[in-house]
Amino acid sequence: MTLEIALRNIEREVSNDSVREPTNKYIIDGLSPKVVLYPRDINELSVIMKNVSREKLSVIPIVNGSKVFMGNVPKSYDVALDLSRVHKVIEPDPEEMVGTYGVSASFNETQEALKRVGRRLPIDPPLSNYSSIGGIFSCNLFGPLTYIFMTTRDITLRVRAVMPDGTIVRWGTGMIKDVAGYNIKRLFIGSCGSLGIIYEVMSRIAAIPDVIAVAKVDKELGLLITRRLKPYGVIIINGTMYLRFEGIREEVEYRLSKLGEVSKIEVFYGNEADGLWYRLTSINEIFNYSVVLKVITPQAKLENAVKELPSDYLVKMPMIGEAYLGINSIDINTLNAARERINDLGGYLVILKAPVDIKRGIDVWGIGQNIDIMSKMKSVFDPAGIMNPGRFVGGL
Amino acid sequence: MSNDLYKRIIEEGLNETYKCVHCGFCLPTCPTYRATWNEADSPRGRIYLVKALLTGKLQPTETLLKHLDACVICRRCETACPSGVQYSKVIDAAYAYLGSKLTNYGYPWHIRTGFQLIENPTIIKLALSVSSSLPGIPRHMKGFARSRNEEKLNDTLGRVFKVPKDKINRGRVLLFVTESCVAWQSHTHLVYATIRVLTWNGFEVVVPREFKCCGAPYMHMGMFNKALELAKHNVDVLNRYEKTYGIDYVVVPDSGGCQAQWLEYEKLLNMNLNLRQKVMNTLQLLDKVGLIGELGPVKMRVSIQHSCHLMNVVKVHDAVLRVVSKIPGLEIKGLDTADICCGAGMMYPDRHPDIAREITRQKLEDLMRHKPEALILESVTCKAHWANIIRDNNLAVKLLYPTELLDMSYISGGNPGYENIINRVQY
Amino acid sequence: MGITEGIINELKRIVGESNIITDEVELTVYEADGSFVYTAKPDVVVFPRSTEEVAKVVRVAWENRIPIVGRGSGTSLSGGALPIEGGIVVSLARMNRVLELDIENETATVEAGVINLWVSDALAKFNYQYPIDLGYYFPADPGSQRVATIGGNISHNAGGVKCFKYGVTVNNVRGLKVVLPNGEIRFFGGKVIENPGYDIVGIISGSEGTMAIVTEAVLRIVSNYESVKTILAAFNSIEDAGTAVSRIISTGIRPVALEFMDKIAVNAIEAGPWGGGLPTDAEAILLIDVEGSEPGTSAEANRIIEILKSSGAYMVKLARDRAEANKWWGARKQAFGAMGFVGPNYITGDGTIPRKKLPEALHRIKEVGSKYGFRIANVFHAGDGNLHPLILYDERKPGERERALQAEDEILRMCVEIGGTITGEHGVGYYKKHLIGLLYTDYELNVMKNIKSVFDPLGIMNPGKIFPG
Repeated sequence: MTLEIALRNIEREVSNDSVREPTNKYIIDGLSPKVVLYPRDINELSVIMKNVSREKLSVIPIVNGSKVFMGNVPKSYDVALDLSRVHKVIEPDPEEMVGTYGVSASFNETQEALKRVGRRLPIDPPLSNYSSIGGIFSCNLFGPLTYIFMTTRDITLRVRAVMPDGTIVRWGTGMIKDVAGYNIKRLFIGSCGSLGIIYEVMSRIAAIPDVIAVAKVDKELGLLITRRLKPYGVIIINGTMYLRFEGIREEVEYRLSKLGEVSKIEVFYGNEADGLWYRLTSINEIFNYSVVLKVITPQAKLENAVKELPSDYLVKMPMIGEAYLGINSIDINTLNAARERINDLGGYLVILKAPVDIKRGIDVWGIGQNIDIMSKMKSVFDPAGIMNPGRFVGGL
Repeated sequence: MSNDLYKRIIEEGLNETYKCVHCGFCLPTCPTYRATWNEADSPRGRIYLVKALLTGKLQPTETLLKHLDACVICRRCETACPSGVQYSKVIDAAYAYLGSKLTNYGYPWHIRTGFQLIENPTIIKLALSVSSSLPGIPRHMKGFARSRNEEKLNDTLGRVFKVPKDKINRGRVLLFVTESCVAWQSHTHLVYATIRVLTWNGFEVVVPREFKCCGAPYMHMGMFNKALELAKHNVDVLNRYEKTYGIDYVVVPDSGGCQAQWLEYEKLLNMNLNLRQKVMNTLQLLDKVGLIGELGPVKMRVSIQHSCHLMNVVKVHDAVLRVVSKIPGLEIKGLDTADICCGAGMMYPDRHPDIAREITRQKLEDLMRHKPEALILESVTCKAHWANIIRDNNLAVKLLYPTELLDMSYISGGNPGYENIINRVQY
Repeated sequence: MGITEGIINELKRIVGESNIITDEVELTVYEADGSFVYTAKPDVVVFPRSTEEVAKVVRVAWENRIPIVGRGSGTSLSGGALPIEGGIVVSLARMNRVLELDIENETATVEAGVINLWVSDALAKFNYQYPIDLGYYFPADPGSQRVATIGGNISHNAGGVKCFKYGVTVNNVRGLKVVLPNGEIRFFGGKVIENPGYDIVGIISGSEGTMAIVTEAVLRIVSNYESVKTILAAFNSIEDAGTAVSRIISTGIRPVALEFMDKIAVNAIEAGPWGGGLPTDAEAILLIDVEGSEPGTSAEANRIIEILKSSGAYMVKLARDRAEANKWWGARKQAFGAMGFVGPNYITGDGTIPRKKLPEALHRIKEVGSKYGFRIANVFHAGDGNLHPLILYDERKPGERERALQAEDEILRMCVEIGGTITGEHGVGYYKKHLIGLLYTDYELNVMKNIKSVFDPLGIMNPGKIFPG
C-alpha cells in the first residue's frame, strides 16, 4: 500500500523513465527491490526521497553496482535508488587545486577530465576501474597512495547530499581549512549510504608530477627498509612488490637508485607507469573470488595478521597497514577466530564479499564498540531507518 | 611609600600590563608554571593579577600575594613574549604599589634583618664558617657555606693586577666584587680565576674595596629606595675610578644576577649611563675582543644551566657559550632545559619549598639524562643552590663557572707564568 | 544548578585538595583565554591527573546539571576555554605525559595536556633503532605549538604551516580517548588508518570541546626527509605573488610550507626584536620550504626560483644553511606577537578564502581598514587559503576594541561572500556564533545540534559556543 502511495506521488513529479522495473543489476545478496527509482536530476532525487521517507520505504542507493556485495545482508529492500544519471558533472578548478564531481561520474572519466587540465585525483582505490565517484566516496575507499595523499575522506572538502527526508543539504565549504560548525562531511564519507544520498563531492586534486615511476621488485622488502626508500605507494600482489615514486626527475632518480642498491628492479615510467599502477591497485581479479576479506592493522602488525588466514590471492599495502585476501572458501569459525586475533593486534577483519549463507552467520564488519553512539548518530539523519537498513556497521 | 621613584615604577608597570595580549607564549618557559600548571603561577596570570590589582578590580588577598611572591623573577617570559612585554616592570609595579604588604609577605622580619646583617663583612665570614654545621640555617645560606672556596677575597681587594710584561695591554677593567656580599665571600676561586684570565688576556684588573652589594636582593623584594641607594653608591665608585684611572669596562665575574642589576641602575637613576656597553661578563668581554693564550684541553663531559639573568636580561649566554666551545676536549651535552631557571634566587627554596622541590625534580631528571661530570653555572646564586642539590642527592657532579673552565684550560695549556699571577690555590 | 559546598567537597574528594581551585583570585585568572575579548569566570577549576578522575568529575557535573568546560593552556583565540555559563573548568594541564612513541607503527600516544611541540621534542630525543632512520615529528604545527596543548589542537582542528602537505589536526589523529558528558569513558579509533563505521574521531575533532573531553590521543607521526630547502621571495604586487604560488603548485611540486606576508606584517616583525632580515619594502613576500632528497630538493628549489623570478619577484634568496632558514622562519612564526609592538593590541582574524581570490580579499580588507581607521597586517597560508588579517588597535582608546571587532565581522562576511568560510582553525567559539548562519541553513545547523545531543543530551559540555540561540 505504502509503496503505491509513494509511487503515485513520485510519478506526478518525475519524468516517465525515472520509475522502472527491477532487473538483475539490482539484486543484492539474492534480494530484489520492489521498484527501481532512477532520478534524472537533484530535484527528482529530492522528491523521491521525500515521498519514500514519508512512507518509510527502505532504500538502497546504487550507482554502477560494482560493490553491491559489500555490507551485511539488507534487512529490507523496497527501493533501489539508481544514481547513475542523477549528477554527472565534473568541474575541475585547476588553479585552486580542487575539483567537483557528481556522484554519477565514473572514476575513470573524472581522472580523464582532470588529466586534460594537468590534474588528477590522488587516490587509487580498489575497483577504481568500475567505480563511480559515489561508490568510492560514500565508502571512503582508498589505496596505497593514501600514505602520502591521505584518505579519500581526508581530501573531501564539501559534500552535497539529499537527506532521507528529501532536504537538500551542503556540508563543508570547499576550503581545506574550515572549522565552522561540525565536520559532518566526515560522517557522510565512509557512511556507505546509511545516512543520506551524496550527490556531489568537492575534493582536493593534485597536479601531474614531473615524473611518475613504478618499480617492480624481485623480492618483498621489509617494512622499515621500504619506508626508508620514501615511495609514494607500495603494493604487493601475490608476492610481487611494486613501488611508486613521483616528483621532480632528480628526486625520482635518486629514489630509484637507492632502491636499486637493495634489489633488482624493473622500472616503468610516465603513462605506462600510471596505467600499470591503477591496474594493480584496482585489484579487479581479487573480486572474482567468492570470499574477499580486508584486513586493517597498525602497519607493523600486518604480516602477523595476514598469517591468521589462508588465501588464494593476497594483496598487501604495507605502508598503510591494509591487505586484501581472495579466498575460494572458508568457514565462519575460522573467520571468527581470525577476527578475534586481528582485533587483539589492534586491527579489523572486514568481510568485503562472501556467499549469502556466510553473511547470514557473521557480521561482515566486526565492530562491537560504540555502536550505541553510531546508532544515535544515524537516527539524527535517518530516524526511520530507511537508508540501507542493516547493511552497515553494527547492523545499522 | 609614594615618592617619584615609586610613582614612576607603578605607572610604567601598568603600561606594560596593557601590552599583554594574553597569548600565553610565556607559559611553558616559566619554571613555576612548569611546576604547578596553575595559570596563577604563570607570567600571563601574574600580569593579569597585577593589572586587576592596579586598576582596583582585585584586592591584595593572601592568595594574590602568594602567587606574586611565588614568581622566581627569572624574566624568561620576557624573552619568550612576542609582544615584548617587560614583565619585570609589572612585578616591580606590584611591589611599589603594595609596598611593605608584599615585601613583608615574602620576606618576614627575620629574613629582612638577616639581609641587613649579611652586609657586614665580618658577620658574613662568621656565618659562612658555621652555616653548614648549624641546624635551622636557611638552605640558601647553607648552599653558600657548602660551596665556599679556600681563597681569601681580602687578598684581592684594593689591589691592581697588572698585565704580564710580555703581553699587550688591551685596557683596564674594574672588577665588581664586594666583601659585603656572601656570594663573593664564598666563591672566591671564581674571583681568582677571573683575575688570572683577564690579566692573561691583556687587561689590567683593578679591584676596589669600595663596591657594595649590587642591590638585586633589595630590588627583588621591593625595597626600591635601598636599591637606589646602592645603585648611586656603586655608580659613584665607578665614576671615581673612571676619573682617576680611566676604566674601559666593569667586569662582573660570572654573576648574571649582579650584572643584570647593574643594567637596572639606569632605570632606577632614570639616566642613560651606557652601562650595557660598559658592564661585561668576563667571557662576554673576551668574546668581544678575542682570546689570547694557549687553550689546553679540558677533557670533561659537561652540561650547562644558564643563569636566568645572564640570559634574559644581559642576553650574553650565547657569547659565553661561544668562548667555552673553544676549549678543546670539552664535551657539552645539555641541559635540555638550560634556559629554564633553576629557582635559586631570593632564597626561593626556603620560601616556596613545594614549588622549588618540583623545579628541582625536573632539573634532576634532565641532569640524569645527560650524566655530566660537571655542571656549568653562570651565577653565584645558582651554584649555591646546586651545591645543596648535589649534597642532598649524593651526586658526583662538579660545579664550575665558565671562567673557571677557561682558567683550567689556560693552566693545562702550559701558559708560562699564568699560575703565578696570584697565589695559586690547589683545587 | 549552581555549585554548592557539597559539590565542591565531592570534587575535592575526587581530585584531591591540591588539585582544585575555589579562591576568588585564582579563579579570576581562569576567566580569560587567548582571545582576550570576553571574560567569564568559572565557579571552580579542577586539575584531574587521570582519565578516571576526569570521568568522575564529569559525572558530578552531569548529575547536577553543571556546565563543564575543558581547558588546556588557554590559548584559544575564539573563547573556547571560557565558561560562559559558569560552572566547572577542567584543566587538563596536569595530564601532560607522553605515553608512548611507537615508531614501528608511526604513532605517538599522549595525554591531552601535552604541549604540541613536546611531541616532536620527545621524538627528537628518541633513540632510534634503525641505523639510518631520519627521525620523526608531529606534523600539525600551529604557530602556538610551543604553548597550546594537543587537546586544544584537536578541539579547534588546528592547522599550521605544514598543513598544505600534511593536513590539519584531524588528519593526524588516529584515535581518541574521551570522557562523554555523562561520565562514560570511551575509546574511538586506534593506530589504524581507517575505522569501519562513522568517523567519530573526525566529528569530535574541531567540535571545540562541545561534545566530550578528550583525555588521550593517538597521533600520526611522520618521518623527516634528508634535506629541506627554504626560499624567500619579495614581490612588488600581491597579484604577482598569488600567481607565483599557483604556478608553483601547478608543476606538481608539493611544498611543505608556503607562507605569504604583506608589507605591514613584515615591517611589524622587522621592527621588533625577532626580525629575521625579511625585505621591508616588498608589497608581498613568500616563504617556501621543500623537502626530499638532496638532489631532489635542489632541483625543486631551482624550479621554484625560476618560477618566482618569471612571476615578477624582484628578490629571490635560497637560504644558505638551516641557520638562515631558521632566522626567516623564526621571524614568520613570531608574526602575530610582533603585532604587539605596533598595535599595541590586535585581533587575529581567521577567514579562509579561495586562493585565487587573495588579491580581491586583501583589497577589500584594506577598505575595511580605512573605513574603521585601522592598520591591518595580513599573514596568509598560501597553500591552503587560510588568511589571518591582524587588525591593529589600542584598547586604551575608548571604543576601539568594539570597532576592531566590527571590522573583523565585516572581513569575515566578505570572506564568505567570495566563497570562503568564517574560521579556518581558530574556531567559532563564543563571539563568532552569529556568523555561522552565513554558512549553514537552520536545517543544517539543527542537524549539527542534534549530533551534539547524541553526545550531550543535557547540554552541559561547553555551552554557549558555536551555535547561536
